[in-house]
Amino acid sequence: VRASWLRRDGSMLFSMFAAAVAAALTGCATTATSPYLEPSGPLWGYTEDSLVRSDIGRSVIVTKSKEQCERNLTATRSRPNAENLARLSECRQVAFGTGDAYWVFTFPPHILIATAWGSVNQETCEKSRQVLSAQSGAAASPCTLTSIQLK
Amino acid sequence: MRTILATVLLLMSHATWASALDIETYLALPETAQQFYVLGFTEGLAQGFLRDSDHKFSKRLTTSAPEQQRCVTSTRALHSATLDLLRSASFDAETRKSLRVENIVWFALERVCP
Repeated sequence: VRASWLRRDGSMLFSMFAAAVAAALTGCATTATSPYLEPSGPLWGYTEDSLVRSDIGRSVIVTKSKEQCERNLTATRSRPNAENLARLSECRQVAFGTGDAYWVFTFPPHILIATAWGSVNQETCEKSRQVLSAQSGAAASPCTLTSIQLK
Repeated sequence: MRTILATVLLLMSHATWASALDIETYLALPETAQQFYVLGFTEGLAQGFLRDSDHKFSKRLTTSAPEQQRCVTSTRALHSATLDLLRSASFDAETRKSLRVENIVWFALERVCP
């Protein structure tokens, strides 16, 4: 369905992300880094706990809108056998600076699919950052230790 | 199994982009990250930023037939086929180490869009 769940808001902006991914895959990637700025304002997110790998730990995917959060969650849940691969929470409001410790990197503001990505495991954060940002060419921040609460 | 391996190796030689993502790194990512990663392919193909060497899949996206386009850009089907291959194909250790996820995705596309 041409990833329509990602296009409802800002298809042009996501296209930029896709272009960056494409550029990376064609070998033109740069590994730009942007500074870590703690996300603020209304934020939504869900947690993911891997059921197949004990070394991944919990991740939290943070978005600026509940609608985007729901789209990401639906896509991840739609995978065959998804219920046996990971335990996913519902989308909930998110606050930074309180709650559980996470290693977090943030995406540039024009990326709508996610605003921030957190992991309790620093190594998982680094791997996710490498694949989703460094290889895509989207300038993400370094993984930074902070705290996140899902309300 | 030999057919799969031969096809993957063939696709490796025909792939139009270079890749650095090995299978173990991919499988060590959270499920959502894996989903986002495959999404990059479907979006890249849909937007015309990615093209396969013989334009088999790229051409389908320029056709007016919706079912042809849907086939190439079905993220769910592509992701499922990619994971099936990654998890079920019993590559030997050396082959597995040298394979890249992008090559598997191309092969998965062949399955999803024969």
